[in-house]
Amino acid sequence: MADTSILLVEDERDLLELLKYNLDREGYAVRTAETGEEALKQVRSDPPDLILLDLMLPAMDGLEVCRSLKSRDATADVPVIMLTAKGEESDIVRGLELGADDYVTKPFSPRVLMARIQAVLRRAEAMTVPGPTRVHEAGRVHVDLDRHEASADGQAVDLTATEFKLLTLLVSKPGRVFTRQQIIESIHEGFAAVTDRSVDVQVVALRRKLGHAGKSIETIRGVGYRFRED
Amino acid sequence: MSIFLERQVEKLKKQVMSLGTRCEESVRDAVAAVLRRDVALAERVIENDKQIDLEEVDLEEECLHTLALNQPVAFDLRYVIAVLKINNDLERIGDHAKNIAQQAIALADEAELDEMPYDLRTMSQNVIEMLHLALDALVQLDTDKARQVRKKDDTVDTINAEMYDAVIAAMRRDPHRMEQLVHFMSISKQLERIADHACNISKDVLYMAEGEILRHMRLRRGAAKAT
Amino acid sequence: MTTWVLSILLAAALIALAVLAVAHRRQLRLLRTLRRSDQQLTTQLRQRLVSESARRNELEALLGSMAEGVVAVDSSGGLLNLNRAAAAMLRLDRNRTLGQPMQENIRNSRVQEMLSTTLTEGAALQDEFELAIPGESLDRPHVIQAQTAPLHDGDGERIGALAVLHDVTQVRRLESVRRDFVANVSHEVKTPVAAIKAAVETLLDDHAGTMSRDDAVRFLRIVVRQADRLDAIVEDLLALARIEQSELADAEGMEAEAVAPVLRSAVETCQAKADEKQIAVRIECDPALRAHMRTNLIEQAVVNLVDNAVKYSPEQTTVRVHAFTEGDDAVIAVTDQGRGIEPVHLERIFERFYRTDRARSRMLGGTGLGLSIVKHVMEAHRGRVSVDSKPGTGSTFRLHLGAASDGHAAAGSAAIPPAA
Repeated sequence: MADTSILLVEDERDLLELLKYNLDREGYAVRTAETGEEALKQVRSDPPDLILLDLMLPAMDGLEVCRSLKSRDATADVPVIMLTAKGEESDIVRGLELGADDYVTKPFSPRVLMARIQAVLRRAEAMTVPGPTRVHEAGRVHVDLDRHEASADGQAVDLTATEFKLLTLLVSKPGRVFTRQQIIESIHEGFAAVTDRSVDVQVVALRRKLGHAGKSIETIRGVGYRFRED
Repeated sequence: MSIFLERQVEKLKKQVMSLGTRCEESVRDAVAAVLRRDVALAERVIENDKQIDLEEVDLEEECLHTLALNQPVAFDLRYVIAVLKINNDLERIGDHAKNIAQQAIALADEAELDEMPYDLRTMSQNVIEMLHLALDALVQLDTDKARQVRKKDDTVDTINAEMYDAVIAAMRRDPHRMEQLVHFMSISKQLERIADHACNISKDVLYMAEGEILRHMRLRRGAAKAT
Repeated sequence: MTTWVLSILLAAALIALAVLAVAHRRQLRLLRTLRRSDQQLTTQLRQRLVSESARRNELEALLGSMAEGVVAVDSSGGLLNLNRAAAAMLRLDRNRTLGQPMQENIRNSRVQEMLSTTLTEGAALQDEFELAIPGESLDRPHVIQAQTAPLHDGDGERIGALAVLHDVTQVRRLESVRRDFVANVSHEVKTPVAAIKAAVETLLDDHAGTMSRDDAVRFLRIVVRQADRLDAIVEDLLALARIEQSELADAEGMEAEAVAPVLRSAVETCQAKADEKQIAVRIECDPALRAHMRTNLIEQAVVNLVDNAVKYSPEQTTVRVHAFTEGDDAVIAVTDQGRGIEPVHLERIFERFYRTDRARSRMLGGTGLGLSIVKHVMEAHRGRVSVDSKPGTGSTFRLHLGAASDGHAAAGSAAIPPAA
C-alpha cells in the first residue's frame, strides 16, 4: 500500500490539510496541488495511482482538468474521484461523462472518502487484469456474457436484449455511477433517438425482473444509476 | 404580367424572406451560444440548419418551376434569378452559422478565456446588422440599405484582419489556451464569410432594383408614345 | 352512351338557365328597391360608418394600451393589425407593414411558424422562446411567451389568426436569480461546513490516540477559522435582511452629514489589506461636502467597495476614493486599476452571491454578498450605485446620494461653504 500514490487537488487550504493527514494515515504517498495547471503538470511528469479532484478550482476548473487528463492516452487510465458540493448535479454528470470514476459530495466524512478511494483503486486494479471479463459477479447477480444468461439469487432471469446490456454495464463496475447519457451510449451504441426517460423505464423493468436483487440498482437523483456494492 | 406569374413571384418573395429570417436567427443564436457558452442553444442552431437546407431545396425548385412554366421576362426574370442566387447565399450563411455553433459546443467544454482575443461582440453585431439590412433591402427593394451593407463590410474586414495578429499574440502569451484560440480564429473567419454573403445579397438587390427603375422608364416611354 | 352524356349536359344547361333567370329577376327587384330607398340607405350607411370608426378607435386604444403584443393576420398571412407593443417587439413600422405578407415583415421564424400552423390547422398554440431584437445585446435576449389562436368572423368562418406576445424576460430573470441564490447559499455554506466536519471527524477517529498534540491543535484551529467564515456569511445575510427591512421605513429625514470622515473611516478599515499589497488608497473629497445619509450604512458600502478594489487589483497600484457633487447628487466614486469586469457580468454583479469567478473570490475571502449589500444600502437611501468597467483597465463604482444643498445657497460651486 505504501507505494500507492494519490494526487490531491484542492484549493481550500484547510480541506487540503485535513485530507492529506487522513491519506497519510492510511499509508498512501500523498502529493498535493492547489490549481488545475499545477495538477496537470504533476500528472504528466509522474502519473499517480489516483487523483482526488476538487471541481471548484481557480482559473482552470476541475472539469477541465478531468477532460484534459482523460483526453490523453498517457493519463486516461488514472482513476479520478471528484470532490464537489451537493446541488451541483450537472457538474457531476459532466464529470462522469468526461470519464471521472466516482464523486464525493461536500460535506463528507473522511472515513467514507477513504472507503471510496479503496473501492476505486480496487476496480482500477481489476481492469488491468488482461483479457476482457466474460462473467460478471456482483452482489446477488451473476451475468455470463458468453451464454448470454443472467441470474439473481441463483435463479435465471429472462431479460430483453436491452435489459441484458444495461445490467452488464452496471455490474461490470459495481459502485460506479453511470449517467443516463452513458447508459444510452453504451446500450444503443449511440444510435437511435433514446431519451433519458426511456432509460428510466428500462431500469424499472430490470429492477422488477431481478426481484430482491433489483434493490441493488440505485437511483442517484439528478445523476444516474449504479449497482450498489455490498 | 399574368396573375399567375404575379402570384408565383409573391410566393417566391415570401419563401426567400422566411428562409432569410431563419438564417439571420441562426447566425445570431450561434454567436450568442459562443458568448453565453450555451450548448443547448448551439444544438438548436445545428438542428435549424437542417430546416434551412430543406427550405433552400424547396425554394430552388420553386424558382426553377417558375422559370420553366411561366417563362418570365425582364424584371420578373431578373427577380427569379436573383432569388436563386440569394437562396444559395442564404444556404451558405446557414452552414457558417452551423459551423460557429459547433465551435460554441467545443468552446463550452474548455475553460472560459479571461478576455476574448478580438472584439467578437462588435464584429458579430456588425455582421448581423449587415444581414438584417440586406434582407430589409430585399423586402423593400431599397437601394440605400443595400449600399449601407457594403459600407459596413469594411468594418468587418478590418476586425477580421486585426484578429489574426491578436490571436497569434494571444497564443504566444498563453499556449495553454491554444485550442480555444483556434476556435475563435475560425469563428472570425466564418463571420467574415457571412458578411461576404450579405454583400452578395445586397448586390443582387441593387441589380434587381436598378432593373426595376429601368423597366419603369421604359414603360413610361411606351405610354408617352401611345398618346 | 353519347345520348346519355348529351341529355345530362342538356339538363345541366337547363338548370343553369333557370338559375340565371331567377337570379336576374331577383337582381332587378333588388335594384328597384335600392333606388327607392337610396336616400334612406345612404343615411344608414353613414351612421354605420361613424359608429364603425368609433368602435375601431376604441379597439385601437384598447390594443394600444396593452403591454402584450398583438398581431392579427388574414387567411393568406397578410398583416391585418398589430398594436404598438407588437410593433416595438418585432421592430415593425405599423403604417408601412399593414396588408403586407407576414413572412416579409415578422422577422422571427417561431412567430411565423406558429401563425402559419394556426392558419392551416386552426389550432391554438402556445410556446416560449427567445426573441432577439436587432441592435440589442446578444447576451440578454428577450424571452417571449407567445399564444396564437384562429380568428373567426361573425358566421364562424375562419378568417385569419391572432398572436399574443408576452415579454416574460424579467419574470424569468428573477426566477433564475432566486434559483442561483439558493444554489449559492448552499455552496457557500457547504464549504466551511465540509472543512469543519472533516476536522471534527478526523479528531474523533483517532481511537488509537496516535495523533500528535500539534496536529490536534492544527485541526481545532481549522474548526475555529471555518466557523468564523460561516459566521461572516451569516452576518452578511443578516445585514442584507436588516437593510432591506429598513429601506422604506426611514428613507425620509436622514441627516445631512459630512462625507469626508466617513470615507476616512472606511479606508482605515481596509488599510491593512491594502498595505499588504502595497496599494495606495487615495481620498479626494471636499471637506465641506455633505450628503443626506446614514453614516454607518454608507461607511459599510464604501468599505465593501474599497475592499473589493484592493482584492482585485495587482500589487503597487492605486485605489482612488473620490467624492464630488454632480447636479443634485453627492457622488462617491471608487476607482481601481484592477482586472476589470467583463460586460456579461456587469448586469448581475449586484445580485447576491453572483460572482464572476467563484473560486477566485472564495480564495480572497469574499462572502459573495459585498456588492449586494452596497446596492441595498443605496436603495435604503433612495440613491443608486453604478459601475463602469473595462476588462484589463479597471473599474469605477459610483454611489449616488442626495447632496445637502444648504438652505440659502443657490446651485453651483458657490453653494459650498468655506472649509471648516
